[in-house]
Amino acid sequence: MTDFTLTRVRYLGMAASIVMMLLSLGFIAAYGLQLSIDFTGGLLLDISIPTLAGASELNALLAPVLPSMSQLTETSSTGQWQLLLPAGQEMINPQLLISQINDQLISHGGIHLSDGATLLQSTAIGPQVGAALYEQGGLALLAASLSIMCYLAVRFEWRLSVAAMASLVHDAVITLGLLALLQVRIDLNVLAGLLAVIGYSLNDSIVIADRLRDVLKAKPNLGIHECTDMAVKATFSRTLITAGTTLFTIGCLLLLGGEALYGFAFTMFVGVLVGTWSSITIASTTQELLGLTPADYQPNQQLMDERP
Amino acid sequence: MSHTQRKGINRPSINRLSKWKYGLFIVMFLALLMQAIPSFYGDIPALGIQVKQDKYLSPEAVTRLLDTTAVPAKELQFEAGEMLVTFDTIAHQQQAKALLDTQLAKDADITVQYYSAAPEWFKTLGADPVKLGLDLRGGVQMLLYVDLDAVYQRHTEATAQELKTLLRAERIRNVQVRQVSSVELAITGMLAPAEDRLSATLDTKRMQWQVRKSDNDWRLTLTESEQQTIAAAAMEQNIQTLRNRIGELGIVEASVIRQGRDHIRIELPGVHDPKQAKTVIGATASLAFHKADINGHLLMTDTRGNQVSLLKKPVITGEHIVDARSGTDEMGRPLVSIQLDGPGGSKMTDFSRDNVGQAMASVYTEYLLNEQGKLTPSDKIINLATIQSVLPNKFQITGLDSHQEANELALLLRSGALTAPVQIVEERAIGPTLGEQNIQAGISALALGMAGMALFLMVWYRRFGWVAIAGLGANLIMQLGLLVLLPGAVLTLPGIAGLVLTVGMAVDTNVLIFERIRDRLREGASLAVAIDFGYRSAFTTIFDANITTLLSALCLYGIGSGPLQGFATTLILGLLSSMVCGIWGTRLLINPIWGRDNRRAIKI
Repeated sequence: MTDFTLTRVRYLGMAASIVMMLLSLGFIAAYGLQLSIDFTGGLLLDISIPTLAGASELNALLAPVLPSMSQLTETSSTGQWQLLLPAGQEMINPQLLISQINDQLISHGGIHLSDGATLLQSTAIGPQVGAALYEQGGLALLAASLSIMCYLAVRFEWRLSVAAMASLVHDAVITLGLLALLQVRIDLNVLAGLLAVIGYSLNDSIVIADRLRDVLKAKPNLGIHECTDMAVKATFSRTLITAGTTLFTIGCLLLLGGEALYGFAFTMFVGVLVGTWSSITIASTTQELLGLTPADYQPNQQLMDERP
Repeated sequence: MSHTQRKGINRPSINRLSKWKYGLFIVMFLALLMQAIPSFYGDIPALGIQVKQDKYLSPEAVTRLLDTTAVPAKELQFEAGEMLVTFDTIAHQQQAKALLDTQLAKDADITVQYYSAAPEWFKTLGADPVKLGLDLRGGVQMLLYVDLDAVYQRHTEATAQELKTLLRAERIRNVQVRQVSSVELAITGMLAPAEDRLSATLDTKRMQWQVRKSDNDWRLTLTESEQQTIAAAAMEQNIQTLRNRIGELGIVEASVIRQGRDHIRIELPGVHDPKQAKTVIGATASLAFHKADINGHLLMTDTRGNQVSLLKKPVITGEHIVDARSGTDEMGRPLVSIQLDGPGGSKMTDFSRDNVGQAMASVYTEYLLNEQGKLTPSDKIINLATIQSVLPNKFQITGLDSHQEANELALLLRSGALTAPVQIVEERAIGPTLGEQNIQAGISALALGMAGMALFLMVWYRRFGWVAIAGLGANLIMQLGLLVLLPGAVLTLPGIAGLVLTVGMAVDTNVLIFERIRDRLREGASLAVAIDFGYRSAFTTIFDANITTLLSALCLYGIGSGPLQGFATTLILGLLSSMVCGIWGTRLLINPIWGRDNRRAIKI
């Protein structure tokens, strides 16, 4: 009596994956991707203001000096604020703004200030440059997917390659969906994270596919579902360990990497989590649905017979 | 027991690596270790003080100056006319720079430097600390857009002028020359009588202008190759001018590179006031021709060091120069041919007609920032020549010493006026504190990541875990060493993220191998056989899995720029070194310890 529990779990997982993908597409459509000034152009100032005041209080206090259409937002690190000016607005002199902010804070002394506001970082990007970067980013994603597809087509049976690509699309869509839902700003670092996710997502699928190849060659009499279950089980501890170690190091970045790496670390974290999930629910089920059987991995019998 | 021992003797090839493999790995590891060590020492912020030629400045004076203003300097070295003052923090370095800039500007050039904290002998081996990107060092990065259209426009205008002059001289009426776009001209009207004359002239410009003829309407388009020549010259010249100007700012590691067709990227590490840099970049240079006259009031020294007096009013100024190219005359002597626009050409013709045999100087003026932060002109004569004949709007400067000189002169002449207008389209300024914060954040994430991995490996794989930890350590060192060795590679914040990420992913190589070994042990194989199987069977999997990540990293490198390339670089190097360390390095340790171990049913 063969136990098909794992097969059932895998297909349930696949159904869940499809639901999550649809939801993610819904999130992207509903909320849209929040592009950073890397792609839209504009001016972004990172300012350190040692204050205990909340966002609304500080904005109200500084409203007279802040350029119109702009607001201070608090970042994940305490005391660090961001000011965003979209492209097309009148550009301002960052140094001048900082001294105005300081004057305003001091004249309204209600807030305790030890050092005053300081400019940590300013980024100004013209709209054309942003558009060019956007194109480059899309091109990078496309080139990465295409070159990986070529590599897979050469190295694996086509059904396994398609399965791996399906899980790649799944991972990218869900990651983007979550970025849209949580309104994480997509900057160049997030793009780097997405590309690393694409690489990592395949890593898992390939390890299972590799093992499946071994099983299919070794056990020609078993059904495909059993073979896949065996491959998944055999690689399960590795899958968990690697996901665990990678998630741990990315967690370190998320925790200690600071504001600058937040987008990257967040994208990677979600991507690795989803990638691990999809290697079991998408990559290893899609090839079954496409009709892969152990027969596809047997040495050609006729050719063998014809040998002298 | 005897059974297993026999097996061991029968298969002597198992778990043996040849001596040269050991040797090669050890040599490679040690070489990269040497490169990596200085990075652990880090570097010390410093200021270089280069005393100007005819000035004197004692180290004591500098020390006193720093002492009175309470900027804590760490140490002052003095060698071969250059002083090097080191500081504890970048903040102190910046304070001191601001101070010395105002106090010593007349006597010395102050440059921002970073001095390796590693023992001197590393430097003699060519090992320096890893170069830090702007996001870690702090500094200003700018992307300039070069308006090439304006340059084409000027060429087209000049040609239109030339044709008009020709028509006027030939007394051809009813023919109009007008500019259609920045790269296109139209000649319209009663063309029949002028056809021969126009064709002859246009034939000489075959390389530059493509002519499409129809009845009474000729269209001239700047050829693609000529556009490229003009663009390349304008870009090269802009970059050269910017390099020279930034050199004046005293930034040692500044880089000015062309990016794409019409952009220039400038990176100024250690500059924390973008305003100063912007002023210098926006500063203009100009060129003018002055008549040499004994009664002139403009006294200057020429390139050979002789005093020359010039008339104050220039014959023409550089804005009339459309093009300047170096070349050779029939005798093979170097020359620079200059093309002027219409008004400039007629002025020059008039002037030279009256002054054949007289000397004329080309004076190059650059507006530079002085110590008060104001733009001041600095003049110099770049060429002094005798007028041989009446000069048309295209003339040559001869009597140059070398082709090298001709090239430089052409470049300088072009820089007088041809400089394509630039516009700052992207500007990133990272404050020094944020840079240090970023380094701290990156290093602590790396340390925690490493510690977590080490703990996990020790608990999960026990004895083999130690080997894996050694492999991880070696991987990090080799990755860093490779980064130092790779020319042009810099460590950026995303680069550190790449380092941290590879720590997590490098463990995967070990996990794949060790899990296979465990499988085999569970099936009842001896440890030695299981090790051999584990390494062999995991190899293709490791290879396939890493290749895909490598591919996406390569795409990122090829298409991205700046910090993204930093991430891609560390990721690529990390994948390579993790494969070397994970597959090869750990085996070098495991083989001598457990390679002959024929125990069965043991746990790793």
